[in-house]
Amino acid sequence: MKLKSALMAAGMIGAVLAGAPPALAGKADNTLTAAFARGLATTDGLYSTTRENDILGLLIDDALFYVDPAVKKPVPLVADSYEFTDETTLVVKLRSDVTFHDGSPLTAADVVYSFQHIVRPEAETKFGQRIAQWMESVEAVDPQTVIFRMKAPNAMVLYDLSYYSKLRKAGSYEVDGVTDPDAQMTLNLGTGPYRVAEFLPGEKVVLDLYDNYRAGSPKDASIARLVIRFIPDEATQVAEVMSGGVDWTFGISSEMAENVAGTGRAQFLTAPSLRVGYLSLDAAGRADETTPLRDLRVRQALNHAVNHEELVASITGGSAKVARTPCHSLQFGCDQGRVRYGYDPDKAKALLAEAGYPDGFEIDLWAARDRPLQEAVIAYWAKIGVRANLRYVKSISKDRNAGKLSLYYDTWGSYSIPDAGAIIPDLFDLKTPKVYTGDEALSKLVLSTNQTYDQAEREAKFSQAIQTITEQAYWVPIQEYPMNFLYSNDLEFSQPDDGMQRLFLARWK
Amino acid sequence: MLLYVCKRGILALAVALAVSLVTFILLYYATDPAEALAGEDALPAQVAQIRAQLGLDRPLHIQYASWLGGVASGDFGDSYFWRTPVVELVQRHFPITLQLAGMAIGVTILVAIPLGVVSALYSNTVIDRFALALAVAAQAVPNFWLGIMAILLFAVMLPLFPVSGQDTFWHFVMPACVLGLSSVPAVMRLTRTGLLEVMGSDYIRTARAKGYRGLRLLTRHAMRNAILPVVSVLAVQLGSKLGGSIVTESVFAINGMGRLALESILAGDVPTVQMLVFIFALVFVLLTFLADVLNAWLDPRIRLG
Repeated sequence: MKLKSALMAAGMIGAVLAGAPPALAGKADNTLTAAFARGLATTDGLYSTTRENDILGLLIDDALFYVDPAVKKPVPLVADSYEFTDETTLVVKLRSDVTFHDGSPLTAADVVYSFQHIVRPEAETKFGQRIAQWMESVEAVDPQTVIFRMKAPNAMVLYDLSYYSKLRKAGSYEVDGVTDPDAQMTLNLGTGPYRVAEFLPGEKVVLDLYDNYRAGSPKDASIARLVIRFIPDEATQVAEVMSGGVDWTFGISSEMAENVAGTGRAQFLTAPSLRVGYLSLDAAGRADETTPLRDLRVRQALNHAVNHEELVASITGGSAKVARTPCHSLQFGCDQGRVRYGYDPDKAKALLAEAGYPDGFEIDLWAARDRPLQEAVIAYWAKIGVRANLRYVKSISKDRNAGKLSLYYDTWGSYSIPDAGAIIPDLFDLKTPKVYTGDEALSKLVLSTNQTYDQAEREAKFSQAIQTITEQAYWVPIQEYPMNFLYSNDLEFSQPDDGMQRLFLARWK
Repeated sequence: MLLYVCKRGILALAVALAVSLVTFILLYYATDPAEALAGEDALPAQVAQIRAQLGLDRPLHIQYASWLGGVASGDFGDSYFWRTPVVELVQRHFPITLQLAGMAIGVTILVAIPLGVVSALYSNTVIDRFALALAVAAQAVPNFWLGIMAILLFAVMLPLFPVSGQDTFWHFVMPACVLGLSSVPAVMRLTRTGLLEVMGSDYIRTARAKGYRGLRLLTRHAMRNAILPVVSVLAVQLGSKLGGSIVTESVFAINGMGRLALESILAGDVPTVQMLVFIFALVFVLLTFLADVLNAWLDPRIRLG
């Protein structure tokens, strides 16, 4: 147990024994105080990729579609209905009762402006390139109808219109004839259930329930005020929850959250996230032509040498699960019935010997997170003679993209999209700089998975891709990450298993 | 005195500039802000675009000259991460840290000097040993641990103070105590040593012979000289509180300069880090300078020597 956790556990027990007063929740004044570990630099979700901004974005912005956690699919939100008139044309009819936080109605012109802004290079939005990859043009047919023309069929289009394309009032970013990426932070005109009442960067955001928010939305909220505070230290977050200063927080380690919940002063919920952790093996010899990882038997040996069940149970805990595939088991198309590598160190040793490495070899393992997990993997590999040196750094992205790392640990959260189309093409298309497979055929296959709307066809393609990736052992998949929540006893909160935190669904008991 | 002040002033500025140059070089080689800003999954072309937009593709000496030119005209540039002028960030965060540091130094003075005096007056007794043991304990305890324990005891078990935040005076009490206590050992020991030395000197014997006793002897004769080294140390401690409150500000969720520095470093926000280091250096040299001047005023032998 970590020192901080031990101290916290001692403190919690002490608190209970001392008969400390019950936590003062925000139920009385209908104000929910949430704590984030990372401060927000902006309230504009078009200009940030952090999870904290994703949560805030869902509170203050409505998009054309909304990923309904019950069905794990996009459903219309600002859109009233939609139709693919052909494979590359999407016609979206808008609702007539959607208003911005200044009371003005949202029209097709606003939607067109929003998407044109998102893809404009000088606007420097974070998702511009992602949308521009598929969007050919966007135009308004009438005040309630928008047509998206796509460069190619795109099965992920409705997901992209759900999370990463906030709707802005026409002209929002134009200040004195110049595009100002920070303009929305001043205007704060969203269309979601909450409006920004106060924003102190790096300190707090205060949100008030938007009075004119339309009835019947799946994003129906009931708590009058949300205060989001930024508290970097996990122990302090926990202490705030115990003392009633904070009603809700997330990302707390399992052991800490379990200890607090054990005192009865808060509720602990652990749920899956769509984040997958994996070790990438340089099958192509991209970083080093002489690497043993070019040999399939070596890659298979490294898979067989890791005791996944023991590793995940002892290191991560919570609702973490063993990963066996290059996608998350909850995602559409993530076929779990493919090749598996069971824990078998003897077989691993035999494979290494067969490959010409009876005494193993030495290699660098690069990682920027989950140090204990890396050390455990290294210990497993040491048993078969593979001597991995942990090169733990702040970020691997630069060297990884430059093709310099033969072996690295990385993760992918799929943007919380419950579809393998949000991970497999992103991580196995050779045009993506992080890919070390060198497998052209696989690259073509994964790219084709999202170029059809036929779900059965997509499923078959994903299955085939998973078969190839696991057979070729391009990865050592490690784990599916959990998401932990700690919250007030006065609060009802449920966490969908796509890992996206929908704070607007919280209710007082 | 004026010549002395001018000499020290020029030296202080030279030190601040040297620190800024070293920081610039270190940041240039240690971090790639374009990578950090583009995000982990950015394409190389996006990173190159950001690098060009920010002028990070220029040679080091050109970038430093440009930064120095800006500083000379009062322009420290815009934060890459917070997307606002760095000067505004400092204006927003500095008063918070100043309040915290001021209160912390107040705690240090209130605890360390009386403790040092008592320890000196009762040297080599149980009281002295107890005071020294307290000082050793305060030095051995890490700030983050003390902070968490204070939160558990005084905010969770006995809800006397808020756990974290900065909205009221009461939010600063616990962090100021935690931060202030870390300086107690150094100041206490220096007070004790200084006072023991002074109390054995000829002029104190003379004062005693003249009939001075107790508090009067201590305050009017002994402390004035004994406090000289303590003033210098307090100045350095104040500087370290202003520049080094990262842990305390993080534990108590105080949005001051320390936390700004931490988040800017993590975000690869070079202009902000550069300015903060420059300011911290300036604060240190300024406080050292003021301590020198104060000492020179207290003891004329210093300015003459």
